[in-house]
Amino acid sequence: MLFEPFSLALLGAGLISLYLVLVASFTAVQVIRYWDLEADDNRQIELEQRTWLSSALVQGALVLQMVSLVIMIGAADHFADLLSGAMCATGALTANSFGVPALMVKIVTLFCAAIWLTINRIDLSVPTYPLTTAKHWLILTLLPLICLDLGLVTAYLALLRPDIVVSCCGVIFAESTPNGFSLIGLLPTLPLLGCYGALVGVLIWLAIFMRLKMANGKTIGGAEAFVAGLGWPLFYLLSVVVITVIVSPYVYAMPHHRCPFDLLRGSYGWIGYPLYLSLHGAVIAGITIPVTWWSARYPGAADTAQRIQRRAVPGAMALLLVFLTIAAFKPLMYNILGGQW
Amino acid sequence: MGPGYLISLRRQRNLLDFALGSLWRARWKNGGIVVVFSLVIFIIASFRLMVAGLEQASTAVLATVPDITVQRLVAGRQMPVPLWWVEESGAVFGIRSIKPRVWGYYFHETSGANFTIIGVEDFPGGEPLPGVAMQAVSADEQVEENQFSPVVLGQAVHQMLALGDRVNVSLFRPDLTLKGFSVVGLFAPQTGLVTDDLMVMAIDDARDLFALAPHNATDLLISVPNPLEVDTIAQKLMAKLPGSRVITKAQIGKTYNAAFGWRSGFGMICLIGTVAAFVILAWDKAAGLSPEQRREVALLKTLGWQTGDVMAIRFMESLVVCVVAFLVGTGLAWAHIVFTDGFLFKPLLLGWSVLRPSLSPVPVIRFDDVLIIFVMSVVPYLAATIVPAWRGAMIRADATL
Amino acid sequence: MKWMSKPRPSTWLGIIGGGLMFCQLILIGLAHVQLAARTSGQELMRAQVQRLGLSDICIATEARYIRHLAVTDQVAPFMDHPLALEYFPSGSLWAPVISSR
Repeated sequence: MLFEPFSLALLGAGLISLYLVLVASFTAVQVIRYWDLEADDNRQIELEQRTWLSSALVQGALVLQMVSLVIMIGAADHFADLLSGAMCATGALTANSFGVPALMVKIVTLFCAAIWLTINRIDLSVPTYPLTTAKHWLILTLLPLICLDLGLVTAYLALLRPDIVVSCCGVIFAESTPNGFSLIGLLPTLPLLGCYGALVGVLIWLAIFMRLKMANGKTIGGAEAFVAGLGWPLFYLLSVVVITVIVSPYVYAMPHHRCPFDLLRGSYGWIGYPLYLSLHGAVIAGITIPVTWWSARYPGAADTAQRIQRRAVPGAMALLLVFLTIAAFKPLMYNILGGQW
Repeated sequence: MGPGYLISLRRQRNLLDFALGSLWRARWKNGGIVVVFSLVIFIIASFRLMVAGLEQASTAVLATVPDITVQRLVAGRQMPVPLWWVEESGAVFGIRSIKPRVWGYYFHETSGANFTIIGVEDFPGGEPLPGVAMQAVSADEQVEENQFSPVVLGQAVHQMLALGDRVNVSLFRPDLTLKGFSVVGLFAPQTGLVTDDLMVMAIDDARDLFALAPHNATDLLISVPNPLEVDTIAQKLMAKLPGSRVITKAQIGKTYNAAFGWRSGFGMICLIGTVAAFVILAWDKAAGLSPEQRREVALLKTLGWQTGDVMAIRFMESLVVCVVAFLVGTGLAWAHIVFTDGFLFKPLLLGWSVLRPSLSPVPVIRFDDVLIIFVMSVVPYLAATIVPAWRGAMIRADATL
Repeated sequence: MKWMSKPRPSTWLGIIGGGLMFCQLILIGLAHVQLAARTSGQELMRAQVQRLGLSDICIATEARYIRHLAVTDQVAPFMDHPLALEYFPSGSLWAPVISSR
């Protein structure tokens, strides 16, 4: 179904971001090969000018990727009306084997974007641009990610077959019972919630610990950065699982409907938007901690890095609490009031 | 002074003021770009909104189509359905009702229009037709012309036949003999989207008009109370009735959605050429810097501006152009659809239709549609101006002064 | 300084942008008023569709296979003779895609 407005928008966004990152990668290769701050020859001056271009291009591409993530969800929601057996966006995404990987790559790109933007910000704040080489290495790793994204999206869209009345008959003989209703099967609730609670506890404890350390004028150490770098991505994955398996059935009031996307629909009060915004915000603020710790070791970068850290730690906590409140609201209400209302 | 974010906000506003000033200095050039860009967005937005409006209207209206429609195909062509199929399908468990129906097209020689004739059982008695004010045919007319059969017309058919106040109309049978009808009602104008070209009559009158054998019908409408059973019943019917083509409700809906999506995509592909041409224009305009602009950049550089600052100015200029053009273009598109029913694209949809239904393709505004229009127009423009903006900003202070 | 007393350019932009936004909202509002006026018709149409078993909406009436898109034969455009080309203008926009199934 390449001839769909949604498909065209997705492909257009993908192609444009590929163009932007591709142009930036040419600069990246040159920067990685020839960057030398001490030199004052023409090449170095030219490169210093070019880094402005690459950073503008990559910023544009990353914003575009975020927009295309939103379009992707909208498209899946829309395609559910065209495909046999698809009841909601989950069914549309699982209609062929490229849908879910495409979405995952888009999400990974989103987090890479956040990391890159943080590094870029730190780099530009220091007159000696200490992180320039690192930043351009990251552009080169973004390039295959964007290519992969475009490839997966194209494959997904090209292989989608709408379910229409065909010439010989109007009935499909293939299985058309509603599948694609739940993304993840039933998981044991208590162990899952236990792990999740423990992880949230660790993250909160870590945040308090770092806050106290910073209040005493100390800097965040490698151990804390390591725990945060491991904990926050894990928290993201577990959160998606918990939303899908535990929270969403309470919102839909249907125990077998486990779909993380329908939460974004108007019929459920758009509860998904604050939920996912706070989740992604919290995780982005969370992974900023290891990124800034790593950046701070470059000469001159420590000041900005620590300033960002001082905002990221409480920011992540605040968003985490908002997220947990929204997520827990429906299930708690159900269990306290003893029924759907 | 103040807190950090206020300083940065003030800085952004100063940059914006500067960008606006430089836009204003080249107001003819930039005004031209805004006009052309608005037109491009207007065309894309009108097309998208119009198709979305039709799609939404059809989805809303076709929610009650028959659960199962049974047709008969012979050599890939549709043939009349024998009425014994009714009893045969009645044996399938789970069916609430089976209604045979005769329908077809009537080509009206005088006007050159195609009408859709539908003959249903229990007409004009039985369940009343929704949205039709049935006029009782006056008694004297009925007495002297009691061979006239009752018919209900759509508004456009009524106009095409130029009936005026008359109620009687004659149509040709295939052997060119005349069959008389008297109009007993008109479909309400606001239902034109489904009824504009209809002539509804009793099933026997339709058979008579089409010279169809008495034990035949065009198709069977089957109602199934349990939606989960529709597919199973449809498959059973296919097995029971040789040569049947069974169409389910879900399939009709999906066909329409797919057809609308395809059409909209096709139209957008055609419009991509427009966007591409515009992007080339934008690139060209952004790349060609006048000597004054070069001097200005060089001067800013000597004052301590960095390449990034100049690029920020250029980006703001592009953004202002985009936002204004987007608002103007989509505004015009809404006006086009609300006030003129989309007269620019209507001929494309209607073609050579003589009978032109009165459709108004107004959509409900959806975030998705706005996002699609945005990605198809604004994003290519912004992407195309990054490199020229950088070229213009990397001028060195010592080079020009 | 003279230009200090005049409103800043960004103020003008705000006024113009706000005005355009306002016009847009008015137009969208008008569209939705039209839509609301149509909902009574929509109820009626749904009832008619149910009563008469209609399957299609009446947009292009020029060709029989386009008027009833959902229940038409896919071979209908070639019904006149086997090599007949589709010649109705709306056919290019309205003829449905044939699935590869």
